[in-house]
Amino acid sequence: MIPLIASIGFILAIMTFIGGFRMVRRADHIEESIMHRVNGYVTIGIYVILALACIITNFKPLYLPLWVFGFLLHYLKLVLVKKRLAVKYGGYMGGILLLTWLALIFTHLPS
Amino acid sequence: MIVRAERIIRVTLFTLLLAIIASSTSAARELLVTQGAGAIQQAVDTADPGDTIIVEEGEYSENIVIRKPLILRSRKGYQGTVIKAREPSNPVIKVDSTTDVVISGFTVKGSTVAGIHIYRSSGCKVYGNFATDNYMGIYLDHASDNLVSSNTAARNAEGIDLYFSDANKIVNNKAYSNTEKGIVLYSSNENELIENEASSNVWDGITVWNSHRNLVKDNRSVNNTYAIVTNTDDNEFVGNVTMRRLYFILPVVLVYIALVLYLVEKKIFMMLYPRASSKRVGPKGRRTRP
Repeated sequence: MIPLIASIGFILAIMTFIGGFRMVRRADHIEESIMHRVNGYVTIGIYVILALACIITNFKPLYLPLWVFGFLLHYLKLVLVKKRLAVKYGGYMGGILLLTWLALIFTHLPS
Repeated sequence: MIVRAERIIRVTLFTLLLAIIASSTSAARELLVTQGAGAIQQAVDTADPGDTIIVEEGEYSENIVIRKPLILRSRKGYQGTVIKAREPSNPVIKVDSTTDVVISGFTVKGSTVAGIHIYRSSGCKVYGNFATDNYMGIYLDHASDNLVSSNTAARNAEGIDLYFSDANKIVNNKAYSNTEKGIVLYSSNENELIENEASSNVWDGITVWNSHRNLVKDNRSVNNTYAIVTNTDDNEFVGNVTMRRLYFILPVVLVYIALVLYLVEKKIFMMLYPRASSKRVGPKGRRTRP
């Protein structure tokens, strides 16, 4: 179940990333802006669900700071967008979030 | 009188011993093989135990059987010295019920059994060979205390196989693109698999099946369907690097799914927000920025 949640999160992170790039180029398409926002919030929601599922099923104190760090990365992206710095730094942040999700998938694949 | 006789006997025995040692060391010869039908097998047949057979560059079509301690090596390495099975139903090189055979520097191919088959032999060294297009690249069958090192087994069904073979050292070999498995231990105990690389094999990178007390250390098993497979729990696995094919395929598949879903989602949102999605159009039908 956890790999499936991680995969869905990765898919949504990519969709958000694509949406963000298109928004920077074409600010007149409001539907893309809404899509980007919805995808972003759903991605964060999935991240929280994934973190809770992992912590509940296999609690390791060492991993807790990593989960918090991942959440802070997502939160930082939100802050950047709210402060209208997304055009300047959003691409980098989006890239970092994609790598975060890739790492999440790889660490949760069944061995 | 007795003391003198004893001294004579001692001197005679010592001289005899020296003569035996001298004769045994001088007996080892080097035989050179050039291209020709059955040339390598002829050299093997005429060689005495301990001789070295050096094979010149070229392509040979033979099934070689070695039944005495010999060194069989190529002059210039495996790239230029190719032995193809004349009869595909036999191994290209078979070491049969002997000891201390060295096989080095050959490309062996075209056998439905094995490229190099070590059968009921011990103390053999197989190094620097390239086994391809065989059923098994290098096959140790009821063979013990052998060294298999720095070989490459590619595009066989199975790369390196140990079958009922104990206490062998399999070191620094590469087994890749085999259609079944890279390195297989079947009912083989107390072997050492160290610093081998098994990559891009269709099924398992390394299989340890019905085998006990083996040391599998510092190997790399990458891009196989399964990295390391075992059904016993008394083997030692230390410092191996594994990465399954899924790790490469999954991100690509997920990116593809994401692209498709993005387009679908966009269509849905365009239907939900028809006014918002209308584009500003310039005088000649070109879109303009707001």
